[in-house]
Amino acid sequence: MELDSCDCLSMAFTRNFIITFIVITIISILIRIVYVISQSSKPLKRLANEPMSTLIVLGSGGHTAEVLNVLSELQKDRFVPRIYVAINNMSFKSSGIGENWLAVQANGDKVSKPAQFIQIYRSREVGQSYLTSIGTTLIAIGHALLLMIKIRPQVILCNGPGTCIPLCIIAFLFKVVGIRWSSIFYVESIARVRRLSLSGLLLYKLRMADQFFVQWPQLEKKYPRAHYVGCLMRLNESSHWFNSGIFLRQNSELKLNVVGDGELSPTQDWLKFLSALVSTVEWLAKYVRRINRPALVSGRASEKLELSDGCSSRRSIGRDGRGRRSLQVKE
Amino acid sequence: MKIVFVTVGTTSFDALVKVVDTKQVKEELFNKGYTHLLIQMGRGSFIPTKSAGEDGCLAVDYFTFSSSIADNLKSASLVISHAGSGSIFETLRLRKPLIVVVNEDLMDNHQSELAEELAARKHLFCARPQMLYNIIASRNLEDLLPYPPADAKPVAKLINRFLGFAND
Repeated sequence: MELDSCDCLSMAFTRNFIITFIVITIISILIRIVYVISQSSKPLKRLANEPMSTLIVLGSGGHTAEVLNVLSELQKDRFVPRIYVAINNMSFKSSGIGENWLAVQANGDKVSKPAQFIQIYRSREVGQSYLTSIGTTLIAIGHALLLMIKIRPQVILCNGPGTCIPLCIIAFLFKVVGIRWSSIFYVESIARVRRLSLSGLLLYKLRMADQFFVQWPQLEKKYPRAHYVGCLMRLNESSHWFNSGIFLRQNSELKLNVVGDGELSPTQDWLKFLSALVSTVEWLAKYVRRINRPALVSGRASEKLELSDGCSSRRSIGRDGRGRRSLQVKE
Repeated sequence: MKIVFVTVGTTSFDALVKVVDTKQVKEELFNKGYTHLLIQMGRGSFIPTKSAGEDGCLAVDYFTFSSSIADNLKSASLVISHAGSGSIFETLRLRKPLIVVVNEDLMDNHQSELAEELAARKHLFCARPQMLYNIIASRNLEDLLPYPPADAKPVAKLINRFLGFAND
């Protein structure tokens, strides 16, 4: 019947449309991913010398010293705010960063944004059954997502524990989606002489780390995209400052409270997650509006604009660090 | 008082504790001038025999864990350790002669890579448990080279350059 054939046609059309739409979306995502990967290995082009928010992922035990050694050579005022993330108290204690932190706190007035210390969930405890591991891994990933949405760091420094993998994957997704461009620096542990650790291998093969540092020349030969930087292991005296439990206090907005012996109990996670989701969607909407602005002359076109209150300022269209057009106002 | 400190970290390394507790090794250590043997046995199940150290033999003592072995390392004249990188580097930093014994029972023994590499660079001696006696008897601990100080400046430079910060 005619009616039937009309329906069939419209159904077929809708189906084809949906399929085409899905295929185009997937291709766009893949193109974006390839673009992100290719841009990741290139140095950032930044116009201003502003400080960058930094996330530092600590492992358990002595390996942490390697990352902290690197940090001690970097100028602190370039990397603020600094957020330290670890699985448990021992990581902070054995890394010996307590003294530094306390010194910073003591000079609180000199530091505009003191460092924050956040504890995150481990995906799987040693010996945990695989069934329950699925649940705990999902919780760990959810928690990592919450953390990353709130922090959105511009720089991530990590040294190899499995904790850094969910964070790095989320940071990579943020790059693809456009929420935040984070430069990920991975330092392979000094204990890895001929083979990479699992975390290192993942980050190297998937090209998620912007810069991959190894501490032995054999690894640089085997993995050409890695940089050999010599031995970074310098051990400090272990700090006893953390015994009093003063270091992990709540991160005000996420309300990660330390309960008892340093156990974590996030409060009102879902509400916070929803509000973070809403603010992300708002941000995305702003972003989409920004890139949909009418096309302006590319390059350094400058125009004098009359503002509604009568004053005028010089606005120029330039390119920001990622090669996107951006508006810079000089007054 | 020359102390030999044996550490297995948080692991269980009965093979090392057993071989250190043998008469052969203890006599050899005594002959080399050591007076005390202190064993940190971790989670191991083999209990060494304590000895007060009279009549010309080594005084032996042991414990399982301690919150920090830094003091034990500081007071030791020779350290015999498992291949954990933390133990290795803490000892190297204190510039103590070090013999690393690799645990062959461990699966995926990436730890041995580090011990072997540092042994090749003459910063420590590396051995399997059965070879410990030979190492103590035949090798000269004076031949070991000190571990060079770490330098993180190249990394910092690379990071700064990558992020577009000016380098000073």
